Amino acid sequence: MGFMVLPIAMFIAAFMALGIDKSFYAPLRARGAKPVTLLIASIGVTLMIQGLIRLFFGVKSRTFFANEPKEIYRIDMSFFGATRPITITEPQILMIIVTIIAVVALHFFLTKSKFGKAMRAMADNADLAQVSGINTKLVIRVTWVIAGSLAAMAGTMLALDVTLKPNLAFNIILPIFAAAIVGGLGHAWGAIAGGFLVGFAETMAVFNWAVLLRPFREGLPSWIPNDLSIVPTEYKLTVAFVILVIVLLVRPTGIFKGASS
Amino acid sequence: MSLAVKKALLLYGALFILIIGVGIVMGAPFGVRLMVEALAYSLIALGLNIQWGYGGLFNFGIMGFLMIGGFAVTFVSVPVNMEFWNSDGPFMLLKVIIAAGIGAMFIIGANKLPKIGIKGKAQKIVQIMAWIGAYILYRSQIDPAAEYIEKTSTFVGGLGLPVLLGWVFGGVLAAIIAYIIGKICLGLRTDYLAIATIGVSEIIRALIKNMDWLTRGTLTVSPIPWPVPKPQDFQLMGVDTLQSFVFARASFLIIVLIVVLLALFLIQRAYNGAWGRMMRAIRDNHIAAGSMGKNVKSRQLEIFIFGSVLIGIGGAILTSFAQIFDPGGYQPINHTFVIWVMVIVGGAGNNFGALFGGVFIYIVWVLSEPVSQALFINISEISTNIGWSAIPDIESRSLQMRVFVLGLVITLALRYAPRGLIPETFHQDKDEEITANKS
Repeated sequence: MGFMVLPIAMFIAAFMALGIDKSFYAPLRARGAKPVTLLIASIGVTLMIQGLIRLFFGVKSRTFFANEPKEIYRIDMSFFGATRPITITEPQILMIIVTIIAVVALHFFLTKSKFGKAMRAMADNADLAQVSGINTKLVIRVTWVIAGSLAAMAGTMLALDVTLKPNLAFNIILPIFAAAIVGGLGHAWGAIAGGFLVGFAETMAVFNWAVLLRPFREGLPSWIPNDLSIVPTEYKLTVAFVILVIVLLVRPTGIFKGASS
Repeated sequence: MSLAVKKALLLYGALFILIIGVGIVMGAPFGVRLMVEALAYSLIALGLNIQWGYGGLFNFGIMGFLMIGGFAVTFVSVPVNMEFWNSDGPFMLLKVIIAAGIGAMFIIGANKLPKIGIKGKAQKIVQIMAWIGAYILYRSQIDPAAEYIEKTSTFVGGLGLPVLLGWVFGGVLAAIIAYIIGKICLGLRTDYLAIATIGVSEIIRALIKNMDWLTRGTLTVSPIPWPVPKPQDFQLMGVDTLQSFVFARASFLIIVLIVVLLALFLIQRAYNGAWGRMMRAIRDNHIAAGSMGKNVKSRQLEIFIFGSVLIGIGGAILTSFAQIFDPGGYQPINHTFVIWVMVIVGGAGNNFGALFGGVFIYIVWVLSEPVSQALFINISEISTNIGWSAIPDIESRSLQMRVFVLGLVITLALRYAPRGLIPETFHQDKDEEITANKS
C-alpha cells in the first residue's frame, strides 16, 4: 500500500524542497555564504522539519503493514551446501529494484542529458556555467526537485522495510555520510560500493568467527574462546566510524578516488 | 564608546532583565538552576569559540568532549568502591595496562622500522601486523577483567577526591584526547575535519556507554557530589526546603561564575595579545601565515587543545550539577548542535558574543517548552470556544517544540545576523582606515 502512494509522496517532497530552498537557502546563496554556513543552515532546517513532524504527527512509530501481512520469501540454498535459506521480504525486493532503477536513471541523466551536464558544470564552477549561458536558477530548481523526490523515495523504502518514525533519518545520517565518503564523494557508483563496504564490515566485525571452527571443536586446544568476534556486538555502529576515520586519514578522496571538490 | 560596545551593553542589559523575569515567573530555585546550567554551557561555547572563532577549526564532536568531562568528574569525585579494591580487579586491570603497554610498544616499534632499513610495503605490513597483535593482546586481557569486575563489584568506582579536582581532571583528560585527535585529524580540510570529529565523538560515546566496568554504562552513576553543600545539607541546618535549594544552587552558581570569569579573563588577554593576532592570521589565511614562519599545524593543535579543555571542564560542571552521569543521555542535537547555535547566534570570534549566546540560547532552549505549552493551552481554549476540538497531548507536543525553536533560531540568525548578535570587532590602525577609505 505504501508503495502505491510513492509517486504522490515524491511530488509533495519535490515541491517542499523547492519551497525550502526559496525561503532558506536562496537568501544565503545570494549573499555568497560559505559552504559551512549552508551546512549549519541545513541542520537547522532538518531540526525544524523534524520538530514540525513531531508536533503534528507525534513521536510514535508507525508501520505500513498494520492491515496487511509482509510477504516473506525463503530461497532454499541447500543446493550450494548451505544449511539455512536466504530470507528476503517483499519490501526488500522492491527496495533493490527501485534502487537499481534510480541509480541507472540518475547516471544517464547526469552523463547524457543536457540538464545533467549543466548540473555538473555548475558544481564545478558556477560562475563559468552562468557565463556560458546555462540557466543556473533553473538548474538549481531541477536539482532540488530531483533531490526531494529521491529523498522521498529513500524514506518510503526505508519505512517499508523497518518502521516509520520521526528520527528515522537522523539515526542513519552518519552511517550514510560514512558510506558516501568511503566510496568517494562525487563518484556516482562510489556511494553504493561504500554502502556495501561499510555494511559488510559492520556485520563481519561482530560476526562470531568461532562458529566456523565448531565442526573441529574437539580437535582444537581449549584456550580458544567460544566468542571470536572481532569487536563486541555493542560496537557494531562504531565500526562504520572507525572505517570512516581511517579512510579520511589514509585516502581522503575515498577508495575510488572521487572528485574532491 | 563605540556603537558596537553600546549594542553589546544593551544586549547584556536585555539578557539580565530576561533572567530576572524568568526568575520571577518560574520561581527562584528554577531561575538559579537555569543560570548554573546556562553558565556551564557558555563556558563550553567559549571553548568552541576558541576553536572555531579564533582558529577556524570545525569541531563537530563536542558531545564526545562533554562525555569525557562528565566521566572524569564522576571518576574523581564518586566515593571509593571498596568491593572493587578488595577483589582481584585491580590486579587484573594492572595486567590490562601492561598488555596495552606492550601493544603500544609493538606499534611504536613498527613505526620506527625505517631506522633499521625496513621501508615501503614491508614496513606497512609489519605496522598492520603490530596493530592487530596489539589489539588481540589487549582484548585477551580486558575481556576477562571487564567481566570479572562487572560481576563482583559492578564497576571500579571513583577516587573520592574533591569535586573541583574532578573538573580539573575533566580539562586534562579532554586535553589529552584532543591532542590525540588533533594529531591525527587536523591535517584534514574543514568539512572532512567536521565529519572526522563527528565520527570520533560517536566512537567516544560508544566506548563510554559500553565500558560498564569503568563507567557503569547505561546503569548511570549517581549521586555525584557537589563542591558546595547540597540542598539536603542546608535542610539539616534548619533551612526550609525552598530556601535550601536556592542557597545550595546559588553557592554552586558562584563557583561556576568564578570559573567562567577566570576563563573569560584569560582568553580575552590571549585574544588581544600577540598569540590571538597570530591565531586570527592563521584562520584568515593559513598559507600567508605559514610563509611568515608560523608553524600552522602545531598552532592549530594548540588551539584545538585549549578549546577542548574548556569544553571538558564545562562537561564536568554539567555532570556534577546534574548529580548523575548518564552516558545514554548524550545526544548530538542537545550536546553538539546547540553549542554551535550558541556560538553562531552570539557571534563567532567574540568572547562576549559567545558568552551572551551561551546564556541566551540556553534560556531559549529550556523555556521554549513551557512557553509553547502555555501557548498551546491558550490556542486550545480558543479552538474549543469556537466549536473546534481541543489540541490533544499538549504536554508531549510542547516538548517537541524545543527542536523546532532551535532550528528556527539558527536559520533566522544565519539569514539576518550572519556574523552574530555581538560580532567580532576588527582593530585597525589609523593609517589602514585611511587607505581603506580611499580605495
